[in-house]
Amino acid sequence: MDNASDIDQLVDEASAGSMSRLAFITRALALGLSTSAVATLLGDVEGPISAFAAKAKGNISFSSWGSPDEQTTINKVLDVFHRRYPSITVTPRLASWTDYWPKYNADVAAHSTADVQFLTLVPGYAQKGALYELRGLLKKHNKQLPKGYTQAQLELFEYKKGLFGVPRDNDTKVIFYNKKLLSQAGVKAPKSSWTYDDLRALARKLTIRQGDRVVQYGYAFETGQWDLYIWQHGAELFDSDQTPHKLTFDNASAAAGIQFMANLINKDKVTPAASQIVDSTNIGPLFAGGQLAMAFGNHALVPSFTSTPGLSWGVVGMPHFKGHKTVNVAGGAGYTISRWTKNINASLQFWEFITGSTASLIFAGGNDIVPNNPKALHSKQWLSKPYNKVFTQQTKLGHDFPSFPQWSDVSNAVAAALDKAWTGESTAREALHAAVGPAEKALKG
Amino acid sequence: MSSSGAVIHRTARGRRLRHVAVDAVVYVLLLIGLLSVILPFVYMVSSSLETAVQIGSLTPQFVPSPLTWTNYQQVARELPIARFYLNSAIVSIIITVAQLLTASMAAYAFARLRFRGRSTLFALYLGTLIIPSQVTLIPNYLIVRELHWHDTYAGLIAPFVVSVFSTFLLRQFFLTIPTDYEDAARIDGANHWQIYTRIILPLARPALATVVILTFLASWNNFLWPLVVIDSPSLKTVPLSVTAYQDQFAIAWGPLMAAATLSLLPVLIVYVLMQKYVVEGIALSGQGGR
Amino acid sequence: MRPFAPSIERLQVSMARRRSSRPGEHRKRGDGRAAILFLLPDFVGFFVFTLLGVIGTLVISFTHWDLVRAPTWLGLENYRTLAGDPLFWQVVKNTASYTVAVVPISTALGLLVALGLNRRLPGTVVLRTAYFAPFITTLASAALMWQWIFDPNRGLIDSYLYMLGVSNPPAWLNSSVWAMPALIIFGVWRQIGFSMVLFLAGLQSVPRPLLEAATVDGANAWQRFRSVTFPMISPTTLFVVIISTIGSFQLFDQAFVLTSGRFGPDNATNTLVGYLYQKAFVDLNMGEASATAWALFIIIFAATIIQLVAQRRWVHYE
Repeated sequence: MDNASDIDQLVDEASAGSMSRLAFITRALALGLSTSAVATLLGDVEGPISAFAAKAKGNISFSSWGSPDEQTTINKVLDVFHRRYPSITVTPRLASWTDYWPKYNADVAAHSTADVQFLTLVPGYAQKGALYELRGLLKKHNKQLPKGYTQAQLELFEYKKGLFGVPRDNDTKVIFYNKKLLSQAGVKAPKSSWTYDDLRALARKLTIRQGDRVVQYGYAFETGQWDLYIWQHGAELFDSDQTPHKLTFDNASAAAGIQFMANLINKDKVTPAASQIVDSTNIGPLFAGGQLAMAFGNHALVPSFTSTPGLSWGVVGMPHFKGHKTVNVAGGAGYTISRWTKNINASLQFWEFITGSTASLIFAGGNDIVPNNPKALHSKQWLSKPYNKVFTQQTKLGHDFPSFPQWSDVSNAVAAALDKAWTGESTAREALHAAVGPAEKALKG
Repeated sequence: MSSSGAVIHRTARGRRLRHVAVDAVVYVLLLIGLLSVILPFVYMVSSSLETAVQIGSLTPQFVPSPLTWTNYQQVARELPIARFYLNSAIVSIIITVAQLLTASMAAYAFARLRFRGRSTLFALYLGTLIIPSQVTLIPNYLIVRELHWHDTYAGLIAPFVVSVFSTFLLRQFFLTIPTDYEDAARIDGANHWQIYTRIILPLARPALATVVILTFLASWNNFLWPLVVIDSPSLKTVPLSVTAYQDQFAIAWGPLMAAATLSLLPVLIVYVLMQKYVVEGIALSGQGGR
Repeated sequence: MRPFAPSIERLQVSMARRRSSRPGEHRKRGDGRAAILFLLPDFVGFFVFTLLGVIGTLVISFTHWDLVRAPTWLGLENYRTLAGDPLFWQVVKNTASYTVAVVPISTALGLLVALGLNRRLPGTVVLRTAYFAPFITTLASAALMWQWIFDPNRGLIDSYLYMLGVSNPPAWLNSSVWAMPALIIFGVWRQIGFSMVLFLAGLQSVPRPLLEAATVDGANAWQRFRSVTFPMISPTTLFVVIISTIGSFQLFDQAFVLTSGRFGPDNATNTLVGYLYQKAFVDLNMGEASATAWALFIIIFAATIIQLVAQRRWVHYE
């Protein structure tokens, strides 16, 4: 990306002091950065390098996943960092989500993970001792944790009161709708105050059949996000999402949420078959292909939709079940430091930068994620895109995400049992009941 | 097989007619099967030439219209694809050549030499085939790091210089080669190396060609090992160009199909080149029906 | 066929004679020195990159190892955990039924296709390539195609079944009953090219004069196959069967991509290696993962022994 080197050059010239403040802002705006982004960049450019930063030097590595498109954004962040801290060289290890995990786990075994890492399921790795505890580390170096994160956001990165990371993004879910298909069916775009019954009625109007074949689906959601549908119906998974002792989903209320969604597939037949909607990887193309009117998904789908010619789409918040609140997903992946880093000073310096607002703004500009950095989430640059307002508003409705080491195990056990509800082979109530045994076993670890 | 000319003539013609009929039936059956085997292949190629809108269509389009090259352009723009090909070519060729040598030598020993512990050693070889690579991955990675071969060509190649699969394959084929030639050669004073190079290897060309095809294919497509052992983008291999588009929430099917189609070409070329050796009637057609 | 009977006997006698002259058996001295030299390059690589890792997993299977902290000795605990896990037995059953279906079907079809393509017909190069294509087509793209073929709402198979008047066609990947048959169809489709290419090579060692002699003696195609071709290629067949059996028991990638990584519904398509992968790379429980690998070893070992014992009845070595 030329843009990266342009920003790079701009920061470079500005820090050399050869440019007026006004000229800097004008040129940064021409590069597509909003005023707040420029201001933050400017702060970085003009602010003095701390005594700590002056000490930090050497080579470190940084691992992250992302599509090739997202990787260009990451490289942009690294470019800016290298300008600002020339004594530190960060070698990126970038891979797709699919590729990231086998490599990461093998490196855990060899104690050779990257110094700074993008990571999820943090409590599990923290429990094993693969990560640096950050509160102690920051205190030791007289540094502050960046302000503005809510406790719920940080809990995802805690294990036994220790903090092992801070979030980059939030996995906020929205519903995308195809404006053309809606107007063809003669229906109006939904509003964020809508209910699931509204969604169902709309989806039925938007489903088109030819004989037994479906040629256009009304709505598609991810069966993998089963936890959300339980929360949305006012039920909980555990007595506590951080230190659970008891499962609390084996009841009619939790089942009602799941059953409603399963009926969209098997009774109303407005949603593709369960095998097609495990995650958003098949839903996205179906929506882009104009054969699905409404799609559940997160910000990762935006780049593919904006780049699809002729696709006119809008975004609406999650519907709610009558009598229950609107609920969304809180939490996302974040940045951690390896327990085995050989250069803690440089690692900490880079960690501070990549969790800071400059990096966050660049990520927000990359259009792949909802930034979790509070400054970036409310920045003018981010909100200048109308759909991002919906993302920001929905992010506030996030439900605490389970954060304990056995969560992925428990989640897998419940998801497997729920399959039969999605295929219509059993009721949601039966499936949830069947999940209790395996889930309890997983919880005990 | 000499008897009166007229009889031979009559039966020969009848045989030829029957042959043609059988050929025709076989041909028709193979053509019917053809559709089911190549449909997914055709789908991959055609969707690599489609836009996201076309790929997202509920009914696959096998003849994309309009045709677009944007997926290939995107792959070429976003990934150092030429570098990936160079790395894969170096690694796969070295591995294939090395395995031909190590496996054929060991197979000769297993098939033709008499020594104590032969069946035990062979059973040990076979036994290791059973343990899935997913579980030896991490122990092997630790060994390679111990040797400081991670993030190098050596690390990519070394674990595959020897293959139990190829050794087993060649041993089985060597067992089908009649011992007549060797017996004759041995009487003329040939040693084992001469028998191996001058008799067994030439006679085993179909099997060796098969090893080339399968080994090249396996190392070209090998995904998990290069993924784990390599950090530097400059040492990455072709399969990583396909998985690069499989991200957590969105899979870019267009570029993925383009990368997949591109990654198949070398394998197809090797197969087409080698299959003529696979079916080459081997030298022993001259003898046999005694 | 009466007239052919004496010839078959003749052929069998001739082959039996050859079989009796197994390599080296006429020599008194062993070939120990030569064997060491011929085996050395192979064995070094085998030892460092196969045997060590395999022995490593055996040791790990008796420990608790979470990849980070040093392993702790558990004895047989991991094996006991496996034996007490209903999911383990389910994946054993799944994997076994997959193998029992895929190995015979793909071996037989591969052999049939190889026999067909071993003829000198126009266009055989194209056909040979086409039948090999499933084996090399990138899995992710093949799976996308098959997901469409199996889709109950718009898929190829069910649309066709509707047309034929079947009112309630299988839901394939959306049914705990039909998901495994779908996986088997996918597996056979992919495996045919592999056994075909091996059989093609194997068929070249069947001497044509032998077949011609049989024809002259009045043997029909089936008799020629039974008495000449099949015995001559039996070492290849044994190889194909053993490798396919091991490969099927190690099934992972195909189930993973076809079910979008879920092995569903409700583990209906989960396999031993899928189970192992979950333990190793999701739970980071290398001890149980390794124990699963060795349970797999015991199962396949038993299956292989049965095959090797049975082979005495049908495999003929030159």
